This record gives sequence, structure tokens and C-alpha cells, in this order.
Amino acid sequence: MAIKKSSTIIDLDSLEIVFGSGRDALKVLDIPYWRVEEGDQVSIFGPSGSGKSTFLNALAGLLSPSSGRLTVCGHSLERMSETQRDHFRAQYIGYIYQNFNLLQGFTALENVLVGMTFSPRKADIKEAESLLDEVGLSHRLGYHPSQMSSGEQQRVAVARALANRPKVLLADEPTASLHPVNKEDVLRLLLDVCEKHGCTLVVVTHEREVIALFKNTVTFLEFNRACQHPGRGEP
Amino acid sequence: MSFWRIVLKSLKHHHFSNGLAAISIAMGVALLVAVYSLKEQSHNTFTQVGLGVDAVLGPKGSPLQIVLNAVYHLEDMPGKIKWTYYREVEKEPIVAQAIPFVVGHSYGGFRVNAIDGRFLTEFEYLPGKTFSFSEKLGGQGRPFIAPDEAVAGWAVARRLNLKLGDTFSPVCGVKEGGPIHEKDILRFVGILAPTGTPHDRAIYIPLETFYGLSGHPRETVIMAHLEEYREISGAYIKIKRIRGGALHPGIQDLKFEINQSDRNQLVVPAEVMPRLHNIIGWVDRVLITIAIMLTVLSALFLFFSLLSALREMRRDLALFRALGATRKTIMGLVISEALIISLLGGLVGLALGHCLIGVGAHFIKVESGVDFSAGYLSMIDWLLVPAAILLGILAGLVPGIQAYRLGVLKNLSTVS
Repeated sequence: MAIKKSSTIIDLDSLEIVFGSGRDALKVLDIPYWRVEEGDQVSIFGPSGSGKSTFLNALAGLLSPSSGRLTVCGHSLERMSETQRDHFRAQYIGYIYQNFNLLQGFTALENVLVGMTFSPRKADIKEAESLLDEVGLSHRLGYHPSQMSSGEQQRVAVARALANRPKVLLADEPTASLHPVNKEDVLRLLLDVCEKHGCTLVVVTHEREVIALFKNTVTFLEFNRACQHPGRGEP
Repeated sequence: MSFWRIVLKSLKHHHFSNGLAAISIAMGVALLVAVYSLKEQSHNTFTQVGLGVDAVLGPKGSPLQIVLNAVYHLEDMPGKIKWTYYREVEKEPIVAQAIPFVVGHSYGGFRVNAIDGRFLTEFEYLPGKTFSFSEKLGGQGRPFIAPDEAVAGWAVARRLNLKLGDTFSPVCGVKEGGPIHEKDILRFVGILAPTGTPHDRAIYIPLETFYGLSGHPRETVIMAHLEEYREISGAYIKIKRIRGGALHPGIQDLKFEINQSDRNQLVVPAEVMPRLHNIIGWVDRVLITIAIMLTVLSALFLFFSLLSALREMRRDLALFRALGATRKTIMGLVISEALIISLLGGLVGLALGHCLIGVGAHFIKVESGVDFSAGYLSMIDWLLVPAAILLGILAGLVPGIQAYRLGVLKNLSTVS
């Protein structure tokens, strides 16, 4: 699956995501238009429960749009089968979760190697070690997640997200589970590594201190104009 | 990190439940392997075609006991027959060959049979095959000639580590601890090449040696010289063949005629042995049923342990999907785990089953004289690997399908 040449890396138009059907249908996202250029670092701000993760999951190909157009790295996700979206994700997307989602039975090094396993590239121990070195964990290669602090675990998650050399790195509340002392460190690390690796970064957050570090911030509710669900962040 | 490395990591992560599943499969398979091997080996031992004996001329008593004693070197002979009667039967027109023998002695746990020397040189234990002493075939030496000479069957020589020139004194009786004919020193001059028949499990001495063994009553010594008093345990009878190699039908008349007498009977092993199998066949069937049930139960155990592991693994599997693994990869991961557990259990069970036979063979030999080999490969050994693969796929299929249908977002549970 080759990347199609374009400076626009995320391009969506009239994107709707609806959960359920008929009378139980619930429109979670309704975004008329949004574009992100290659190499941009964007934060999306919105209150907890407003559907930011759903949006990020749609960008990652974990959710299929109900209607509209969603193009990431030149690939129209709305036309892809689930298997095609799996391949797409393995090749182009890095994902960092709020709760790290590390594999508990695997060491830090193995967690990063797993990030390479499903991509078209071959798992490379040297590269995995280098990534962990980059996030300051060269001394924790053989440690399991349970043996590391939350800040260290999130650094492993950053290294793993970069393991498949993604074009787009998506981070879902990457600092929400961290101690305040570690938050800025992890965010700066994220911004630095994305710049170094030429990754486009999209971070969703509900923390104002996070958006302070981004030049380009979108308020989620600005474009999610029709979020109908009570308690899901109406203005 | 390769797919198989992830599978192994996952197996290691749930090592306790996976280990229990593998052990339970190993136990079921071990029992199945052992029972099948014992069944086949005993069947082969007792039904081998052409042990060379068309009929046994013996005393009145249990026909089964006579066959077990004369042909398989087990049990005791229920009595003796007159030499003169044997000579009469030998002259019957349908009798091709009659080899007289006397049983009742042993050495090192093996029977010592006093037998006519023609047994070692002319008797065909399989069609066209006589006993060989060829070193190329695993034998040594020559047939006995002098009264103080003996020949060992291949299995005896191997078990007792006998060499040519070794000497021994026969034990009177077939039970260990019987009186020893200490004054009679016999020398091994030959070791038979292996035949794969019970004939490998006996020591052979000249017929006349029996009558001269010290310690026997005076009547026995007289038997050596006076044919009208002489007694033997029995005789192997070869019946003439008709077209197509079939036994001469006159054997039934001969049997009827001999069985009319008060002291003698003609026993046809091919008619008697199926009765033994009817007697012990149900034991085989019960044991095999138990073994199959145990294996099926262990497959169910594997199934439930995989389902239980799947519940624990949901988050990990969802994460693999999020990292780009396809549904098929995830299903393959779960089925591969089941395959590895069942294959491992199967192979350990295979080894364990053969070890069981190895350990049990000694006790069976002591109790019954029947030899079982731990290295014998039965039908089940050949079926085991494909069966283990099938078992693994079956046990892993439902958990695999559940893994295939696993919801990524639901199991990663991220909402903001």
C-alpha cells in the first residue's frame, strides 16, 4: 500500500459517524470539513466524553465512517474493507493511548518489536533499541510494564507508536494518566520525535496545559457541530 | 518479533493453564499409546501367522494351556504323552513332520525345552524359513550335537547376555527358586538368529539330555533306554499341504481320532487362539474406551482453558489489531496456541506411553513370560501427529472464532 503524493495528509469532508441504527441511532460525529498538512502538529481540545477518541479511531481506521469522505495518507478509508484498514494502520499509523495499552507479558523491547511485527517492515531489534534510547529508556529494555513508572510506560508507548515508521501519529490523551511532573516531558518528547521522524501528530486532549504547547489547536466542538448525545459536550 | 514468537510469549504468559492442558492431553495420549501398543503386541505374539506349528500333540487338558505352553513358552503342560503314541501319530499319512519335546525346566526365567535336534535344522517356523545361526543375521555357533550342549533363542541370549561357551545348569521346574540340576553343566554352542517369534524366548537342549539329568527319578532315566516307558510333553506336528498351501483337510479326522483317546489330544493353535482373544478382547476395549474418553476430556479441558485464556487476552488481542494485525492473524494466533499445546501434549504422551510400556514390560515378563517392547510402534503412534493437529484445531476453533470476532475498540476501552 503506497502513500499517494500530496502535502495534505488528512482530508475529510462531511464526515459522519453514527452508532446504532433506526430509532436507536446516535450521531456521534458530524464534521463538515477538516484538513491537516503533512508534518503538522495539531491538538484537538474538547471536554471528556465529547467524542474525540471516536474521531481519532476513525482517523486510525479502527472505525468506518457512516457517511462522508475521510482520506488519510491519500487512502480513502470509507471505501476500505476491514482487512484493508488493518493493513493501512500497520503501515501508516502510530497510536498512543491514554492508558498506555502496553502488553503486560512483554518487555519494553518486545513491546516495541510488536509494533513492527504487523507492518510491512521486518522487526529490527537494533531499531527498537534505538527508539527506546531515543525516549530515554535504553536502561529499561528488559523491564516489563509493571516494573516501570507511568511516565516510563508512556515513553515505551511512544517508542512503540514510532516502531512502524508511521506517517501519522495519533495520541489519545497521552498525558492524562501521568503525574503532572511527567506531563510536559512526555509531550515535549512526543513533539520532538515527531519532528525528527517527519510524522504528522494529532493529539486529542481535554487539558488546557497540553494545548499550550501546540501552535495549531482546534476546539473539537468547533467542527463537531451536531453531537446529539446528552452529556457528550454540548456547548 | 515473529508471529511464532508472539504465540510462544502468549503460551508462556498463561503457562499454568496451558501446562495443565498439555499434561492432561499427555496423560490421555500416554494411556492410549500404551494400551494400543500392548494390545497390538499381545495380538502379534499370540496370532503370528505360521509359527510353524499346525498342531500340537499333547496330553488331555486345556487346549489353550497346551498351546500357550508348547508354542508360547507360557503356563505349564498339564501332563505327558507316551513316546509310542507319538510314533504312531508321526506315521499318519497326512503328517509331514513331528518334533517331540519335553518341557518343565528353565534357566534365568526362560524355559529350557528338551527337543529333537531336527527342530533346529529342519523345522520351518515360517513358510520356507528354518532357524539360522548365521552371524550376518544375528546368530552365532551351531546346533547342539552332544548331550551337554545347548542353543539359546535370540531374545534369551540378549537378555541374559549369553556368549558361546557359557555354561549353565537347568532349574527343575519353570518357577524361579526351583531345585537346580547342579551336577549337569550344559554349554551354549549356538545362538539362534532372531525370528521375531516366541521361539526366540527359549533355550533348547537335546531331547535325550532331559532323561539323563541328575536328580530325576529312576523311571525317567529308564525312559532314555526303553521306548515303551518313555514319555514326552508333546510334539509339534506339521500337516501336509494341499493345493494353494491349505492344510490337508484330513487334520479334522486325525484330530477327532486322537481326541477319542483317554490320554491324548491334538490341538490346532489357529482354532484355539481366537478363544483367548475373545476372553481378553473386552479388556482391550474397556481400556481403549477409557483412554479415548480421557483424551476427549483433555481436549475439552484444552478448549475451556483456551476460552479462559482468551478472556484474559482480549485486551492484548485488541491491541494487536490496533497495531495492524488482521482478524485472520488473531484467529491464527489462538489456533496456533491450541495446536502447540495439543502437539506438545501428544508428543509428551507418546514418550510417556512408551516409557509406561518399558516399565510395565518387566513386570509382565516376570508374571506371564510375555515380552513387550517399549520401542514397538503401534498404529496409534503413526496417527498421533495428525490426530494431535486435528485435536488442536478442534479445541482452538471456537476460541479462534471468538478471537476473530473480537471488537477492538470495546476491548481497548478508550473513550474521551
